[in-house]
Amino acid sequence: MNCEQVREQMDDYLGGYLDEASQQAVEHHAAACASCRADMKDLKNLLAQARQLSPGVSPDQDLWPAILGQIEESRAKSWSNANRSWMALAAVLALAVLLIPLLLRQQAPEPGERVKAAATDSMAIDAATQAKVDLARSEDRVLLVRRDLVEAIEIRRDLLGPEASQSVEESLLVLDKAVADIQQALEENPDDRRLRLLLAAKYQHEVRLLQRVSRV
Amino acid sequence: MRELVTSAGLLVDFSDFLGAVERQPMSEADLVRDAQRGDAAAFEELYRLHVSKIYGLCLRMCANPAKAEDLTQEAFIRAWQKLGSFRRQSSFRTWLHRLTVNLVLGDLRSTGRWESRLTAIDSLPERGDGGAGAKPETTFDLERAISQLPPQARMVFVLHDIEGYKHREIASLCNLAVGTSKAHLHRARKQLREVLKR
Repeated sequence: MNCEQVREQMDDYLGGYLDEASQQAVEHHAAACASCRADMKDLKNLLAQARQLSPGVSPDQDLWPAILGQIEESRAKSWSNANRSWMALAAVLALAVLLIPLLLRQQAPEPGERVKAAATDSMAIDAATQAKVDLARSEDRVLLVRRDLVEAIEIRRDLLGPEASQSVEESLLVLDKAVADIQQALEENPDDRRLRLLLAAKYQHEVRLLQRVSRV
Repeated sequence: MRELVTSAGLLVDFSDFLGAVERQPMSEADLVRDAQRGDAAAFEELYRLHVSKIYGLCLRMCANPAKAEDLTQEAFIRAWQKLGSFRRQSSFRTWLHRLTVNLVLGDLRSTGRWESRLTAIDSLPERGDGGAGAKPETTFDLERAISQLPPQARMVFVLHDIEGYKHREIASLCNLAVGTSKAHLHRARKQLREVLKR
């Protein structure tokens, strides 16, 4: 390796980009060449100075007030849209509460039919076990999402305004009532697979709704 | 006391919850999580933690204090707007740095300064004569010399030699070939050494 080649590779050498053979070739040449050695020392000095530069430099003024102003402005716009979403959500939930008892009556089989189905369907036990597992997972997920939502609502309460806050709280209570209705029906028919699936589906639906609300 | 009934029938007392939260020193991950939920106070803490590094990055990349302030402000506003897309696959610092680098690059391109020609070394101001070799002067001279580099060479030098990015990352960020990134770094180092030798 000659001086020109070494100088071409010096940046890569100091940056650790060379393979071992090339690295050794550069070192071998530099050990025997005073000019390249001086060049390398010079470059190392520059890199040492660059490393000593403070990574942080404080601006002359606090930029936060201006940043916050822009954040508040954009948030005011999005909350204006969000309030409409809360209202729409509350309407959907109110409708759900009206429909759930009707659905329960349609879904719950007659006791005689249930006994007949259990006796004739050998897969029912496995399916019921799976439904219980799905139900437990769904319930855990609902509780986690609910906790996150409640924290988010608390943080945003001042920005939401009283009307939207009340709407959200009412929505949560509506959800609780809907779930409680299905749970009560399930207590009366504990082996009913279709009721369990309905409840699991309800939980999943609830999670999707809550996630949508959390993203607003 | 504010309460809500959960589906498990439990009462949640938010006053106690918030009081407990306020007493705990929050990690950066907690601050990011709260900011993602719309907590501006948490985002302000993130701003305080990172503003000097972000401003320093903007200042060295664009070499203009007023512009650097504007870009820093814009970087944090964009970070707030895009927080929802931050998935914690990298650290918040890395994510914020990349966002800032892209912002500065976009600004340099839009204003036509990215392609500007090499600053003639002869046009640079002379180095002060007192205290050569002392650290403050050396640092000042190097900062000044960096600010005089052409935009692409300056960007690559700042990212590689100060911020610690690799050529492959710089090439990806700046939409350059790795060889071009290396060429810019070589040119920047050569020019800096010549200026500092004066």
